[in-house]
Amino acid sequence: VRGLALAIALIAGLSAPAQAQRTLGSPTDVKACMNCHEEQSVLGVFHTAHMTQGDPRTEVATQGCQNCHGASEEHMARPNDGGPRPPPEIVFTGVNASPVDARNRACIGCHEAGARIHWRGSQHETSDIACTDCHASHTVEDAVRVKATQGEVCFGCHAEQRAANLKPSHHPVGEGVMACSDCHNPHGSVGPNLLVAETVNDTCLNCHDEKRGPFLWEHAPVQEQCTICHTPHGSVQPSLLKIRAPYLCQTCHDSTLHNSQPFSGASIPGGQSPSRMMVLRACLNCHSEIHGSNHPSGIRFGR
Amino acid sequence: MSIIRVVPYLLVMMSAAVAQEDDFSIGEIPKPKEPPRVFASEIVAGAGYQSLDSFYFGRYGGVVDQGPFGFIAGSLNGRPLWDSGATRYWEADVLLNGPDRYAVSAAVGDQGSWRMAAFHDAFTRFVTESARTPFEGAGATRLTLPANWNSVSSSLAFNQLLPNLKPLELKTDWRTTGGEFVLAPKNGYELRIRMEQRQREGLKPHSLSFGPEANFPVGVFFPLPIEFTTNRLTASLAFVEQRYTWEASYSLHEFHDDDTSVLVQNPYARSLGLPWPGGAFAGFPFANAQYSTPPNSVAHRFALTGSYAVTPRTRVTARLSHTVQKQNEPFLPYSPTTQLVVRTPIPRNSLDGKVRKTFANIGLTSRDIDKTDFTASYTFDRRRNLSPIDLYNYIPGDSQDQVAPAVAGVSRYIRYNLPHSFDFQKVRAEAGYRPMTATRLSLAYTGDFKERDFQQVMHSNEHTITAKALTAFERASAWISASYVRRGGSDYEDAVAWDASHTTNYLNAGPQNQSIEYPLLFKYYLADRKRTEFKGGLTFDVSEQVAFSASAGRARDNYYKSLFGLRKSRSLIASADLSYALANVMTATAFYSYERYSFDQKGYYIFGTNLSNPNQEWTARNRDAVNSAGARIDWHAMPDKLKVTALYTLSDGSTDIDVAATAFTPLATVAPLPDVIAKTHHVGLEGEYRFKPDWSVLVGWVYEDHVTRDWAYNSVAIAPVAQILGSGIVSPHYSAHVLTLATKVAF
Repeated sequence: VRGLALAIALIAGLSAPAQAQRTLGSPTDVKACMNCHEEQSVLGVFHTAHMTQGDPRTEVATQGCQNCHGASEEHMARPNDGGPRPPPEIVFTGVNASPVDARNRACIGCHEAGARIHWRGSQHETSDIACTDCHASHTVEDAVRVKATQGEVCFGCHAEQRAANLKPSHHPVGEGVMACSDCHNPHGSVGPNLLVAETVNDTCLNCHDEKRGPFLWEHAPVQEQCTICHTPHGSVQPSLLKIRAPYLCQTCHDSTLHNSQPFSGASIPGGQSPSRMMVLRACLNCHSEIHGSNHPSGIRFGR
Repeated sequence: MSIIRVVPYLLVMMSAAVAQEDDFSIGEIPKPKEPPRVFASEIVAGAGYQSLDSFYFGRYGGVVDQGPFGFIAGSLNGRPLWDSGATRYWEADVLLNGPDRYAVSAAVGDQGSWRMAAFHDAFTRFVTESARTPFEGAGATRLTLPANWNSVSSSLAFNQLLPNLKPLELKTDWRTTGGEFVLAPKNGYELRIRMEQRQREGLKPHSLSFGPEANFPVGVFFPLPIEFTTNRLTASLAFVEQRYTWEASYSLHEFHDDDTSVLVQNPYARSLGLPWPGGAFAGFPFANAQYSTPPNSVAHRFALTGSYAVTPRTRVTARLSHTVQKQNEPFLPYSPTTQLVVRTPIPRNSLDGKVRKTFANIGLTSRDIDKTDFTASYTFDRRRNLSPIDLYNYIPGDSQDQVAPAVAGVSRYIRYNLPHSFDFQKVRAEAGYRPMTATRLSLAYTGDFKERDFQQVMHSNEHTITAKALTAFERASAWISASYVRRGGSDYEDAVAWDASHTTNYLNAGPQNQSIEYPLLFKYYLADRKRTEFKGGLTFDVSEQVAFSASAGRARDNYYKSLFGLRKSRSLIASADLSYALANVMTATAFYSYERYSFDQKGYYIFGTNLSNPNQEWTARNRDAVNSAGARIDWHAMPDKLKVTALYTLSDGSTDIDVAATAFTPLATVAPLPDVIAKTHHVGLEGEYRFKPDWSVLVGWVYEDHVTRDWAYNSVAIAPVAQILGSGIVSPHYSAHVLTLATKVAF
């Protein structure tokens, strides 16, 4: 009996490693997943940070695919009735996608710090946007993290901005020179409209810092908010202006000197009384330092 | 080994085997396979041919000249085998498109421990090649007129203008170089240092005026040299733990302009009307304007950010920052024309400008109560401009001697500078309720409270209520939101800035010729207003292959207390998208958007001293209408062999401006304005044939047709009216073709 028991024990012991490889959560299970999921769109994950088992910050070494997709016992099991295999515990895309909250919890477990510290309560989070609505975690080049392709991802929902970016005056997002994330943090921020900086002006001044000053002569709305005059995503007017000059200027300025007259077709070359305030840059032909002047004679932003 | 000690192990193993048997039938599961090879890197290299010269067509893309060009785009990634236990990796990207667009970046790191990255990004912002100027020295800081310049008082009579015109290429090169180092020395800590230098060099279209303000000043176009350098450094230390995170950071942002000014010679002899007060010394050849370029400045910011999870579903976040912005560029003289008399020295050698900004934000978000969520935040944003206030006896337009008033300060040209300061506060609260999964109803309140110095409205408050509902079903989702905004505040005091910037003696003297703003006009960003906004959208998966989505929004602003100025604005935006996807065969998308923006304003033509003559009132309505459309098809014509991509976009925008007035003077006579039109068709076609899994050839064709009609530029001569010397810039109009041939290698 002792010999038989020992023999059984030995057999069991010898087979134990093979059985252990089948234990849910072992690295071998990743290969088990690959038995079915051998499409390129899945396999790309092996070339990403997500599947780097040596990273001590993650559980991927011990949990494999289940680290993100959940234990998924039913999915891993052979269907008893021969029916379709139930989906994994957490499905990120497609018709079987899990609830947004469940999907996002899988990501936030590791990715809630840094630029994502304000994710909870942000516009995207409360609008039930899933991380995987924008991100593709299985690809080497996640389109939304590549400057040249990020715009297309954002424009998929933001149709107004997509149209704006096609207008004659626009920031070069479509050309791949800029990315939406140069100005916006889609994961939440303390600034308005998910801006990366604390305020609208701080965001604009990241690139347009020649307008920061402080100047000797300040134009008050410039300091208050750039978007009082400009619309950032695109305009049919020059320089991303909301309204073209001189009419934009005349919404705030109507003074006794020269800027109170009605400019019309009579004011352009060929008209009855052509005006220097209607051609080229209109008011800015003379008041060209409209963002502020540091010249002692620049009070009217002309120097 | 004792059987007593072995049996429990045996039982465990047997039970484990049974359990495994339920899940895995060893006999039924195929032998684990090695994953097929996936390419992590690829390089595309090729050549193209562009059919025309056009700055506008290639204004960001890097190719503006007719002829051949080359391009490379590569993304290289090196990682250890995923299950090797190693964590060292490297990445490199390269982009080259023609002579003016290139970027390289590289990074190396040990995942979870450290990362080092460096990058260089270069592009050119091409503005126009149609500008012309009679000035010599474009690109330098001294612009002079040719020796044979014949100065007169009217642009229309510059008989040496056309023979002396020289073409200009107006463009600015942007070159950014930087690097980043990230170190995670201990689990949870992260040190991050980022440095960046951006250089901008080029020429920008600019202009200035000569002449006294009230007496026929003239505008002169000139090329402004751009020689900007920006240096940025950000260093941060962060700690991340399951329950709380914090980050302390410092950032330095330095702006440097190699130039301090541009000297521009006055091409005019005097004005059309009365002679300039400075006489001959205000005109050619004695007079110059010294145009100030942006001053060097520096900003330091210290910031603390943190978050704390009170419960797993309730989180508090906070940020506090303090910023100091400084600028102390030496002042230029009131006028560089030494023949003009300067009686009062500039009160300071430089501004010694300083702004202190304080920003604080605290937020709470919670989902602890079943089916509900709650978010609240408070933001404080203070700008304190501590720059000294002084009196400046300025010289307008380099055209007259400095005034010497009989009574101290009694001159319209003696002014105080007004450093603007403000305190903005915002409170926001939003509550959401989820009656069922994927359905959320929410109500939000936002209050904006603003206090300002030296402005017509010292205190304003804006209250916004937004209600929103969104829901999603198996194959559809929809959302709708409505907002109501009301802004009010202290009374509109039209003379606040005027009074603050003039001396008491001047104000008490009842000066003549004051250019005070028309008292009934309210600046729209300060004026009381009501706003209503409605938005909505839906998505619908028509079938597994076809999806449809649409959205629309309408907003109306009513500046209900503004009798003059901007009185109403409206916007209407509607979009529709349709997509079709047939797995591994084709994806196709199409969209259409319509936008309409309308602005109604009213002005008062101040002619004489009557400020209440209805005949001097005028109105203007600006209407922008934009149609945008696009379509894209990705078709795998031969699976794994041939892929064809076709793309089309359209942007068709127009601006219609209607002005109405009573023609009581020639300048009040109005006539219809032609519409401003900008229309762009863009077509792209690309075929990729894969000879091997890792090697393919790409053939591409791009066509773009762009038409603009703008009365501010088109058919405008370089001297279009007597009082302006223009730039000759015309708005672009072209049809361009680009052919490309490239090969792609993956590895």
